[in-house]
Amino acid sequence: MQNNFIKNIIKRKNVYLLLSPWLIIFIVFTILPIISAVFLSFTSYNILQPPKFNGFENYLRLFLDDDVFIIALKNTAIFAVITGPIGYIMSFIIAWMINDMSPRARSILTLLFYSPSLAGNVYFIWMFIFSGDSYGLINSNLLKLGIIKEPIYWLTDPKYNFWVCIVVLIWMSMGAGFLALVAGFKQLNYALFEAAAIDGIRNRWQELWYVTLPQMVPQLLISAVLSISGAFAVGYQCASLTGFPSTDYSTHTLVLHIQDYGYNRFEMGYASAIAVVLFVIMIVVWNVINKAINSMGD
Amino acid sequence: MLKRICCFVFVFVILITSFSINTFAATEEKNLPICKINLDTTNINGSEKTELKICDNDDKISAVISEGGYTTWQFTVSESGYYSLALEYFTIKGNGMDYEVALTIDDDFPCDGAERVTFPRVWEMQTADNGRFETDNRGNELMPSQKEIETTVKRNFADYSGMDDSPFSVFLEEGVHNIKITSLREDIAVKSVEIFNNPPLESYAKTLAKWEALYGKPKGDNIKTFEAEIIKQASSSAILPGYDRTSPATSPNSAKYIKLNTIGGENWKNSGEYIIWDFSIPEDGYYIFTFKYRQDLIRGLSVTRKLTIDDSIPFCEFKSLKFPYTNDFKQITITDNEGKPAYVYLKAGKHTLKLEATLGEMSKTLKPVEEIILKLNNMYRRIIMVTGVNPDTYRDYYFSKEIPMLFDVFKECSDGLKLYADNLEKMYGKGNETSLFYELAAQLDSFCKDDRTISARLDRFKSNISALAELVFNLKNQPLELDYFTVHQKDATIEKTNSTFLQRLLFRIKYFIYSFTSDYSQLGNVYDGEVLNVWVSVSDMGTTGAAAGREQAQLIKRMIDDYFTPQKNISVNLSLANTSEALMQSVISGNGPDVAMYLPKVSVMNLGVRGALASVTEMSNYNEVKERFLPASLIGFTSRDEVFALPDTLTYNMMFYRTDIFSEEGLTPPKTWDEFNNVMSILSKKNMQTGIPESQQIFEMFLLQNGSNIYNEKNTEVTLNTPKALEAFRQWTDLYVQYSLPVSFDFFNRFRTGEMPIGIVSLTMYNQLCIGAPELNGLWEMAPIPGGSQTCTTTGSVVIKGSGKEKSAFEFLDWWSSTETQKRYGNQLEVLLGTSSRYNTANIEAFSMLAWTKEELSVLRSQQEYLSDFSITPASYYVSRNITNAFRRVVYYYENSSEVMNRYSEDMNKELARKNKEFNLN
Repeated sequence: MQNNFIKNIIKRKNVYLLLSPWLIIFIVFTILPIISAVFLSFTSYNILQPPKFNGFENYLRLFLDDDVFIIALKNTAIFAVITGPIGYIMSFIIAWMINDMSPRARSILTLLFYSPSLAGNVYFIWMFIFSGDSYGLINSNLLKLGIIKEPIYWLTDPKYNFWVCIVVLIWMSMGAGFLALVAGFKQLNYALFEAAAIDGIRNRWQELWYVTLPQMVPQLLISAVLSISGAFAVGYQCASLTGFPSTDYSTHTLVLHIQDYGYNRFEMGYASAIAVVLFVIMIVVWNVINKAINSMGD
Repeated sequence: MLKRICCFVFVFVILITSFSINTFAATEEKNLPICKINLDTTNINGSEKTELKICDNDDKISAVISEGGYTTWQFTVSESGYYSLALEYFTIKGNGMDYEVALTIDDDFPCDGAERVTFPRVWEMQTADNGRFETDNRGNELMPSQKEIETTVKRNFADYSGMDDSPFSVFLEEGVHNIKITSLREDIAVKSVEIFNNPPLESYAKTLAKWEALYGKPKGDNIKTFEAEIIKQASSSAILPGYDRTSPATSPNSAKYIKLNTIGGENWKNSGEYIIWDFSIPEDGYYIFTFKYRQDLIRGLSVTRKLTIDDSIPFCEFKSLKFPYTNDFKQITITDNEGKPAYVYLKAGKHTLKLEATLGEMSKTLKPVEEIILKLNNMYRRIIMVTGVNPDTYRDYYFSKEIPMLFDVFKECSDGLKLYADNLEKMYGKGNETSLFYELAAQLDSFCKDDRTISARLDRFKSNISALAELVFNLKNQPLELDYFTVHQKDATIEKTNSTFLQRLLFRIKYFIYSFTSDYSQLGNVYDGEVLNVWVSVSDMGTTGAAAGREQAQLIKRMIDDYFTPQKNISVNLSLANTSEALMQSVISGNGPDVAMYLPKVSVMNLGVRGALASVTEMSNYNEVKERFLPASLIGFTSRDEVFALPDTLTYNMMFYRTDIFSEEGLTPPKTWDEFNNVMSILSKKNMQTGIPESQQIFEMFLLQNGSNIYNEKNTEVTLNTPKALEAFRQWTDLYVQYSLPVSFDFFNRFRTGEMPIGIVSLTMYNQLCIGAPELNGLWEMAPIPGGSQTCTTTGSVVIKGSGKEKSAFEFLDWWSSTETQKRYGNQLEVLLGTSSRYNTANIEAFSMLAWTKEELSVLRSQQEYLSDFSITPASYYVSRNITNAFRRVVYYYENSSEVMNRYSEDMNKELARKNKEFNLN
């Protein structure tokens, strides 16, 4: 088996040679970090001193003795379940609607919907909108209308800040996945639509389900992967809105938990263990999504 | 009886109306007898703490008045009228601060502002041998250092701090008078005092006619260009050259190196600030002046300058020359009223050219408008005292009953605004500026008509007032940036210097390419071989009152090259680093520096407990060095018997309060918490607020004042659940629960409007208020916080362990933290960047040598005595986040404070035990 593998490489060395630049970069910057994270997750490592092996201690502590991890896991799951699908479905519907417009309107609207994620840190405007100051945009208007008597601390009160984050995340969710869908709609084969009409498609929903979607599986897949990984990687947006860490960890996510242990406490071993868990969760979720999308239109 | 009352009321009304007419009426013609009375040291008729001596080399005797002393003269005026005064003084060296004197005539201050008149020192820019600036060893020109020089200066008595820089106009009756000059700050060497009225300047047309009769018509083709950045003298040491690399049109110019090629801009904008240049011309004749300038800082407005040649203004038109708004460098030729170039007849040889920022006519408008703003702010405050900041729109508050004078003031202000808007329009033409005046005036009128609309439109009213204040602030600024000026004759052609688009594109491409080859994070001279690598953490400087930026780092580097390297023979490379996080990563990878400066105490301890830092106790003279600092400022860097940093900056909270509002309400600044609580309730009854930010420092203050600590003696457990600490926690949360102080607010803005006349905030607010709220000058003060004790915020310099250069690194720290160096750095920084960059050095001796006034210093001193601090443990980050959580539990959900704190204390103990185990600290 192994001999065969090496023989194969020697036989097709030209192919591997052409592949090598990408392969080297992939191994150095993706495979190695993953392996080293798995390795570090079994050690105690404070960055400045060499790592010490400590078996499953990190994992035991993570699952049995870390309340904040459970909160972070719960928050990440809720973020992923709410913002992932909503963002994904919104991307799809908007891309579908845009597709029927004139090319000019289409490109302008595409830019418009994509701009929040294009412009990077523009979500900072939400800090002014949701400011806890009584002169903040929402607070001052609610006070003026007499709906509230005291300013609401939108960003620091655990009752509200989670929902503020969700609003902002949905607003930002039209990312690269959205662009993939817009492109996907453009490459549809219109002969199939005619054929379907002749075969007796009754309305646009049927058309969408039986004709459009099966043609767009690759775009749907890439868009789903992007939105799922995006939803699981939520963190820095919440931290910059609600503070790091947020009050009683109300918007704490797994990514922030990793950051907390990695940069604030310098417990790299433990942070790696969280990262490994997040990695496993994402692989599982991705497999489920993959199966669901592939069965579309069947 | 009734008749009498009517009569009284009538007189009263007349009085009031005549008063208000007076304030806004145009000033009538004054009698200005032309004369010149010179009083030199031979005329002195009385003095105290004054010494007569020759300071100068021209044998003229000066009267050196020591701080607190005075000198008097007697003089006779032959005609009653208004007179101006000027002082001729010699700038003897002292403590480096500007001179301040009080002027009294016949034992009385003759006008506003005479209580304290500032006379500046003279600074000279140090240039290199080639007449330009020194360069570092990479070819970049360095910001020149400033040297104080001793010279004779003649300057009018005027209020240079305010807007009206025209000389005081003092009314003197015919007869004998006594003039007294008292020195308030620094020893001043007075050569003479002059009482004068200059004959009015002639117009250009008349002067030119006179010249033409003498010298004939303008002709010739001589042309000479002078770089504006090479100056002879400036009124302030903060007027420094800058560099513009946005286009190839500025001169001199290089895409690769930094060339200082302009002067002025942001640092040459206050009226009274001037620059003097030397220039020479080859032959007698008529000359024209052309300036290449830019005014892109104040949108749409032109700025004004007064042009003086050889100490005299040639004609009255030169008293206010306008430089219109332009966002790129542009040439402007000084012209007469008809747009033709204005000629000045000059003899061959050397001359001086002086441009002085002036408000000219505008000062007569801006000053009263500023008064209107103060009045309206006061009215706003009175309104919210009745309604609160969020008034009920549907309620009639009966303002005419509650605030009787409200409508009179509104009427008066509205009339004033309209009048001054007219005046401004005459000067600038119709424009955006004046529309705001009219809008506010219209609002005031409609308030007078129907006072029930006030409550609904209060927000708009407030934002209009602050927009007007902003506008006046902008109109007062007269920034002008100059590239060069050309002195030329009638037939000379000036080359066009505006670059084409292609040239600009090429320049930008070159600039971009060069940006790869030079390292901009390195500052000044860069050495190879055995050098000490020092990093400055810029972002941390910014948050701790040392102000952020390249200029500061450049100054540090300059001082290192000038003083440290020659003394100890150790070369230093200085680089800018963004954050302490970057430092952590570089230390891990082994590319770290040898010394890092301005690290916050938490970062210091993070590195320290993990063994990355050398303890400064290893310094050979540590016992001597530590005496430079308050013991409190070292606590945060100490872990057991190791100290990981020497403090750089030290900040703490001060109590800021508005003196005008306090005296209006009959309050005195509180010294104890009982008094403070009392003030809080009085203010809150009047719908005003007290500002105490949600910060752990406030909690720590209460802990200290209750005699508690965060940790027990061995740092094995938190002591926040002890009765004393729980009491402190209750006091802290009660501020927000019982007294309902706002948790989230912008102190600076609310302090300005007066909504929040008192607050306990960081000392760095001093810098912000000084520069950002000039209209509040003299209306606020700071005082020690109630109860005194509090913790402090520090940044420090650390030495990285294991570099092998610890010894020289310690020597560097020793030099840097010394009183001499810190004092020089603090003073130079202020010279360079103005009061806003007041440096809160941790070296207590150097701190007291900065430009604080005596009162400020004594207040700060008394606060410093009470400073203390808590030690930092590896679990500090966890403790502070849980304190915040506990605080919010109580303040947001009104939970029982003791219960909450007990619950969170358990969490903290758990983490503390874990971290102690990790570092074997038990």
